[in-house]
Amino acid sequence: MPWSKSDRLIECIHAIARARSVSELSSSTAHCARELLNAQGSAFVLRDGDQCVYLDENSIEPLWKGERFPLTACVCGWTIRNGLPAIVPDVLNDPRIPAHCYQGRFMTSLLAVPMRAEHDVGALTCCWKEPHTATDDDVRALQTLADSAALGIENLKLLAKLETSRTAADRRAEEYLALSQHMSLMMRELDHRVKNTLAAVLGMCEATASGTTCGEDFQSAYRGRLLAMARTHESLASAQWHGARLREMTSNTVGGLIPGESGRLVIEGPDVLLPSTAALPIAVTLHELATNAVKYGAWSRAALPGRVSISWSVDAGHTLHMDWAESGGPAVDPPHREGVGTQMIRGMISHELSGRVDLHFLAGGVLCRITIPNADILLPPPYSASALRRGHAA
Amino acid sequence: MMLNDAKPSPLRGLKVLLVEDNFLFASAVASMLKQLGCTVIGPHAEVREATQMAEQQRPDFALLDITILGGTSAPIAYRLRQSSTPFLFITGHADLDMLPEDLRASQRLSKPFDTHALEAAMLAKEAE
Repeated sequence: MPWSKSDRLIECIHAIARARSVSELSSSTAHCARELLNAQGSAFVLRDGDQCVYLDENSIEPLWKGERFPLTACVCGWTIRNGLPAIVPDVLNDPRIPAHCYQGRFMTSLLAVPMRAEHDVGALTCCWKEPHTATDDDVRALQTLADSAALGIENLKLLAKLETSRTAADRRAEEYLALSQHMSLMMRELDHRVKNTLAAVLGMCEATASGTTCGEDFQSAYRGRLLAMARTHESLASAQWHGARLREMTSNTVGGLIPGESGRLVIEGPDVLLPSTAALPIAVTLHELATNAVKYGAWSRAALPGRVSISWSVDAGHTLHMDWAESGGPAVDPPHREGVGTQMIRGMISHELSGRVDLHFLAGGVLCRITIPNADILLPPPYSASALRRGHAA
Repeated sequence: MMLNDAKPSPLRGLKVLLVEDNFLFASAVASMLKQLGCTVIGPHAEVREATQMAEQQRPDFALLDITILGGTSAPIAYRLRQSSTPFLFITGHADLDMLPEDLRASQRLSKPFDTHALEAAMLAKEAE
């Protein structure tokens, strides 16, 4: 091979190596092949299963660009199947070629070489108008181009695969980032809640200590209050901290304290979702009232048919009215001074919710009215605002 | 929660504005302040009410929870800053993001805390 020709071949190989797409690669390979072999046409053919696809060409007249042929019905197919060059001096007279394809075409001779690297990629072919028997140099030059193109094609496939997995990795990285940001937000929120809860626990501990005179009283009062707080957290968690279902929270808070048969408690009210800020004050209130009922009120005497009715409704102005009414218990003896429990519920309801607690020691039983304005109560379906105003569950 | 040393606290006699919407903790802090010999203004839970108190009662010191009813205690902090009244935020770290940037560097005391920690933080702030 003369120097000028091998220099040109090296340039062509560089061009093929630089190609960043299959179309760029096939077009420059076809161009180089035709030029290097002084041919009038060249075609870049890819194997697709048991077919050849004429992907690109560079020719004085159109050849078969875009067409497909079975591997068994064209010279490129023969080259691909056999892995050998096909040197065809006369296209109309060769058993490897269906002659009718070439009738009326400009070419007389052709050369086809397989294009393969790790796998069969396809074939590269050149054709001449005048009779020409491809020389060893022709075969070597075209095969060198074909080998480079095959490598190039495989590299491009690899590159595409890498690109796909890089995109997937990028996406996963983004998802991970979003998730960890969300987690860190959640952690901060959790930190805030835990600290506030611990602060409330500390306050409850001090309040309980100031209202009890002996360690045993303290222990039992404190334990009861702490457990009431814990159950409120359960109710909040079960509604994903959007709020607490009032009906569930009420029976959770009070239920465990009822002595004897279940007829001693009647709960009546729509199953509204309390905002989370209102959950703790209301639960603590119910807990204090229930504890009081067990000690002195409707639930204090097993022999008496004392009962408690807890009912609530929400008016059109979003005010929650909740009544705790005891009946059938022993005669009520109004306390001489307000206990710590009462101060606590009054404080929580008024300070945290701008609400009011009206406690009446009626002869027939304790009546406690809780009023909470702007309670922003959320209605879980299927309850409607009108059902709420009636004060009954739908 | 009794102080061990019988020595009166240097904070004795201070009028302290307490802004905290968590009633149980607010009551505990109020009793800590009383133990230190301070007079408590509050506790208040709501922004507008607390801001009014900051203006009318002229406290010597203020303890501010960050997220309170009706927003954050930032407006109260600005009012106190105008009158050069020292204040501490009482909070968990998470709340700081709720504050305007120029307030985030302010001194804070992490909840919950006891009388000793409260006294130490208030004295450090007073000494500034």
